[in-house]
Amino acid sequence: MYRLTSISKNRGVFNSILNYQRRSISYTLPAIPALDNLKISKGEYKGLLSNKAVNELWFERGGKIVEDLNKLLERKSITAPADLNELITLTFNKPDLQDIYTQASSLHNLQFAFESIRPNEDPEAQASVKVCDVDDLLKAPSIAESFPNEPTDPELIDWITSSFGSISEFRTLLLNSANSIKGDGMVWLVAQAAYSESTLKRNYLGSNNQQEFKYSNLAVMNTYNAGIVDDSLRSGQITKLKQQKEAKIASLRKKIEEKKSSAADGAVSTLEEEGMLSTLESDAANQNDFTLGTLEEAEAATLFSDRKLLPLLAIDASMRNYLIDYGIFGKQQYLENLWNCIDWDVVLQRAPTRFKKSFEMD
Amino acid sequence: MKIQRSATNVLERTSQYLKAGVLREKPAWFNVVGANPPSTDLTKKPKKFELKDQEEDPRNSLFKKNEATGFYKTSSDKSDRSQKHNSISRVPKLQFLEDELRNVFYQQHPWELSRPKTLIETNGDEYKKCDWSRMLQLYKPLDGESVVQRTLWLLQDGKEKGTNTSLFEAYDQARFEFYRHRMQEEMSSAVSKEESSLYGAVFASTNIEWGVKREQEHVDSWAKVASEKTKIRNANKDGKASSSIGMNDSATPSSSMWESVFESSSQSVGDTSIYENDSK
Repeated sequence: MYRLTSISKNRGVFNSILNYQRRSISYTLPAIPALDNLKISKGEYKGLLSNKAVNELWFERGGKIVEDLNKLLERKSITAPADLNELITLTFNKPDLQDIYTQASSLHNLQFAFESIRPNEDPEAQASVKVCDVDDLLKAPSIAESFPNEPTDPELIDWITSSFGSISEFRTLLLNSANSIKGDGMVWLVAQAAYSESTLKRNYLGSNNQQEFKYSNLAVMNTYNAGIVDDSLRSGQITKLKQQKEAKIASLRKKIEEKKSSAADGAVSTLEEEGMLSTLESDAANQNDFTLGTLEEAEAATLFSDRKLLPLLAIDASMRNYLIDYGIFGKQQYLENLWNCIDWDVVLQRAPTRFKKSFEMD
Repeated sequence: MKIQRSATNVLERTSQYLKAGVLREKPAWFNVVGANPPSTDLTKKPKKFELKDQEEDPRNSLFKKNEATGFYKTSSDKSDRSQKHNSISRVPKLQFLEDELRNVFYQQHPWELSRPKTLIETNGDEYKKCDWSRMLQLYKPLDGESVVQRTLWLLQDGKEKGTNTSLFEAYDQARFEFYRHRMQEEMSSAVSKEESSLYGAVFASTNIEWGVKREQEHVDSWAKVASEKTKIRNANKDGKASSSIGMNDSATPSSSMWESVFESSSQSVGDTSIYENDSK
């Protein structure tokens, strides 16, 4: 997502990101009014977190990330762009800048997650913020089909329903995805472009303008550690390696052919290349010829089709978020509370205009 | 004394004994049985004598004129002699609600039957440790049986609380809880795989491929044994067919072929640890 700047309609949401800049090389912790108020009032984040947790998760952790990021930038003497998104875009595929990328994307994810929620003002909600015991792990799940704090905007409801089946199915998918993350990670609700980026690059649609992206689908995806919402980062590594190998074999063949044709008497030794070729080919042949292809390949072909993704909502499923208030058995409770805190207005603000496909193109 | 087969007259007998002085004290059950005498004779009788469906002695029906046909019967046929009171020797059909629920569940979810199931129980009383006030158990995996047991618990719970839960309501509740847990399980395994592959894990072979490979090692050594055994058998056959000389000399070796082959193959198989395959 960060390879392209965000759509101007959504600038309002990202305004706070612009506040990172200070003399063009250092960032500061962005201001989120709801959290800043809590720091002063020493109150709880209603219905979700205690004051202590907010302090640790946002002010201490966020502060540490910003500090580390600035130190790294200074050490590597990099003139950072004003926009954190741009910094992520610049660093995400450069292994030597990996530590900068990690801090930058962690900061971005943290801010994005906290901006997606608002305190739950329901007076009864605070009672559910408590340390859970081991029985809660085995608790029978609710089989209800409607839940509090569902989105109310008819267009958003319609989009979610057509993408996931129903609000309840979407909620189940979102919370189950979050619950399944074992380490650090986030769950995102993303809008998926109707066409892959490569299709756009080929200019079939008559325009290469980034603003022309059509978002037709909503999807739920996970990122782990400091991962960002970007399809090309996620999968297909094995497939890519395979393709590289095939390309290598092809180039070796070509070389041998060329050598053979250039030296008509055949005196030029192609032994070395031929040896390499045979080992590569035997490796390739070892991979089961009788199977239909791996799951990995199927996923690479269908799931991750290089679509542009625009994040609308983030849920932080890392353990540090629920450990303080809910204990080690409290992930489910934390996630249920988190659902009740989702700020659908923000989601709606971030959402691009929906594009309804009349037919499938690729 | 004649062996007493009838349970109905135990009271009568005992009172006679008491009167005669054979028994000195009234048995503890005497008054109770006297107040509630057994109403049915539980003695199992092979033929329907009391109903007069069948003659006690099949010969009794011989040499009597059949009014309808006017013929006489001169010998008893098989049906006269046979035992017609079949229900007494039949094992009664046991009927349980659980079985019906199981049938319904697996009819509706046939693929649940294809899931691997462990048949090994440590003591056979793991079911006692299960608490069906929730779906998930520590002592058994989630499967159709969980739905059955949970349904029964919900029914019972409804009765105790007086909420009048119907069987369908209880079953649906259990079923939907089951779906929820299945969804969670599936998502958990998919996310685990994605998470670990993004952390750098490579799944070189699927579980099935791995299993086939392991099995093939044993199949290969078996093929060797089988081919030699076939040779020996054929040689024996040929020897018998061609001449009678040496007919008693079997070519079967004294020690089992399996032992020698498995000794050698188990060494080679045993050397590779189970987990080594993954690193290859």
